[in-house]
Amino acid sequence: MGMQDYYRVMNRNRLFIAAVAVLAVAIGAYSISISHYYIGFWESIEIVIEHIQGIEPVGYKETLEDFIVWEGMVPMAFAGVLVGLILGVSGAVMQMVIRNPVADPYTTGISSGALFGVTLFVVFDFGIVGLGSQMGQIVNAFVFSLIPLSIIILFSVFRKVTPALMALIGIAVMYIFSAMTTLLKYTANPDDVAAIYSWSVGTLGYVGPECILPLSLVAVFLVVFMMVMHRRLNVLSTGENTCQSLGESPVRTRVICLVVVSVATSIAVCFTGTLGFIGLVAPHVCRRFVGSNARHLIPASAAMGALMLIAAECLARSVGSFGVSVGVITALIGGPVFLLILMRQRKSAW
Amino acid sequence: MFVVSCLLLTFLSVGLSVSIGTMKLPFLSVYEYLFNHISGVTYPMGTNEFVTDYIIWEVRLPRVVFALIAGAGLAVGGAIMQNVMNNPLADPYSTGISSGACFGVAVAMVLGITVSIGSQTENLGVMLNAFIFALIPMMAIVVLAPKMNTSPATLILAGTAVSYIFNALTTVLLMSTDAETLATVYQWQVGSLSEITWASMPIMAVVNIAGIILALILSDKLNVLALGDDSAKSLGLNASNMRIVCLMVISFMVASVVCYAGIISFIGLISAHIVRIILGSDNRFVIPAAAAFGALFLIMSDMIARYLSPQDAIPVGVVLSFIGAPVFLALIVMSKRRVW
Repeated sequence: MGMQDYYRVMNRNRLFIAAVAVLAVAIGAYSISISHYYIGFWESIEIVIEHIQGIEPVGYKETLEDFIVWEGMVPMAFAGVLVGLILGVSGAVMQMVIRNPVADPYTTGISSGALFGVTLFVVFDFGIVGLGSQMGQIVNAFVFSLIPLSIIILFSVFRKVTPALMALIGIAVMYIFSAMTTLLKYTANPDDVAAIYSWSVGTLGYVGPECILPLSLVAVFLVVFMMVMHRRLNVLSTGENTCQSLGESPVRTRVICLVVVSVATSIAVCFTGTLGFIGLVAPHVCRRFVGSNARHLIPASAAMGALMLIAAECLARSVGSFGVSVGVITALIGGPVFLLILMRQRKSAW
Repeated sequence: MFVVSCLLLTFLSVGLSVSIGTMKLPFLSVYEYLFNHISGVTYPMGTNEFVTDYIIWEVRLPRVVFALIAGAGLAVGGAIMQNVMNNPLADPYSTGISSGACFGVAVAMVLGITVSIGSQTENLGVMLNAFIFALIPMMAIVVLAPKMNTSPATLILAGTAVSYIFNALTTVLLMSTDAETLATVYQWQVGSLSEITWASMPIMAVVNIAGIILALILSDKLNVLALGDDSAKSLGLNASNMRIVCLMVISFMVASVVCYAGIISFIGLISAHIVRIILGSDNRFVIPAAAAFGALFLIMSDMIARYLSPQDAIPVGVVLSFIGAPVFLALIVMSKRRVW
């Protein structure tokens, strides 16, 4: 393969990433107008622009529309794109760090830890910080989701742990948390159980304007950090021995990446609940198109994750009268598409 | 050595497990009653001995025997699956068996559609649905295998995708139902041994014992498979066919357990790992040891669950997690062996 070919592939990859990213942003913008209120697309855009310019809405209808768009639809659009992005990148990094195709952003036990935190809050009103209800739940989810990770780190301090062992420790802790959640649910009343269940499925329905800032910061930091690390990630995915002979400390890089990815995912999770599937599938779909080089895989996964989540959210909202959650849509549409891609792939990317 | 001690412990815990329940029975007399029953001693109707014999033989023993065989089957299934998929995170349900079965149950309970004819009223319909839907992912793999690449990564990813699809379908079905059905399906998802009678036994026992024996015979080849597809080929083993055969065997084993007891998780994942930490990863030892350990583990957990709550309020899966996970973590800390 000559230099020419190399540049052609590079350009093709860049084009793919740009196209997916543009599509994601476009759908994100369009999603503002999809709701069961009758506010058209251009009208919504107008409202957003006017709000940014600081023009106060006049009249009851206008004020209401401004409130719906600005407090409801815009945060949801932001959250859809940003959380999808975080999950996509986290999944890609996790798969490289753990060196396992079935790893996803929750492999370190984040989902079950967070769910336990939320269950504690819902059933016993037990919050780590005594703030208002919404905030207490978020903080609980965040703190508990990181317990499994700290156990993994504790283990890796005391003895040499392989990536597979890290994942297994995470899973073992996960099962303990799930068992405790199951027990707690038996003591809870049906309303609480329903609340816990809807949280565990994941939804963008509860996000408010206050989530935009933290999610943006996390997303930007995550992408920048992983792009800085991309050479190390490539080395890491070649295996322990190669890694050492190339002068990298595999354990340190691995633990740092795990911590960054897990914290980012935890922050996303505590606003939206545990949205599955995207973090697992987006990187695999991207591998099919841009290959396994982290330099392209990470931005591609970011764009693809954002696209998948926001597109699924739009679909879920337009069939919204049935109350289909976004997680169901991602699995029902993304699942078969992913299977098709897997089947058409002649050679395994792993 | 490990296998023998596990078997001995299993034998002891069978007795202990039978003696625990709402009616306490002395530990040693359990063996006496069992021995008497097998050697054909009958008691006159209505006497104390008759009742005890009935409780032991008809109520408690089926459950214990089921736990014995199912535990062994699930553990061996997990060990094979981890080998075949070349992935330490695989468990017996990795091809989507559990979510398929769950969807089958949801279909039966919510829509009232069962695959078999005329058994809608019975539990049998639900069970058959679970069994057949559990096998769908496996059938899909067998049909599609010649057309796609059957590398471990592809298979396990396909399995995960299938799980997600079935789970989503189940969620859609469950959204529209009443709380009572929801609770039944939920209980089924968690897994429980409380519905077991002798009638549940024959198919499950035959399939699982045959599967375990087959696994023992194939254990050499599984070792070869673990070296990777290329090495396997150069040693004269068609890795792809081997993989498909193993998947079929596991699917039947697990589906036959799942349709009676629901989804008992964790044991399939963790038993094989615990055994590997103690014995190393040679499959000729791992498979029999996993069988013995799995049997012991499930019986003990069921026993503890029943001891803590005689009314079956605590699902066995919860106890499995509470015991298994700390044991596993402790073994990781103590062992010097590098397994994966």
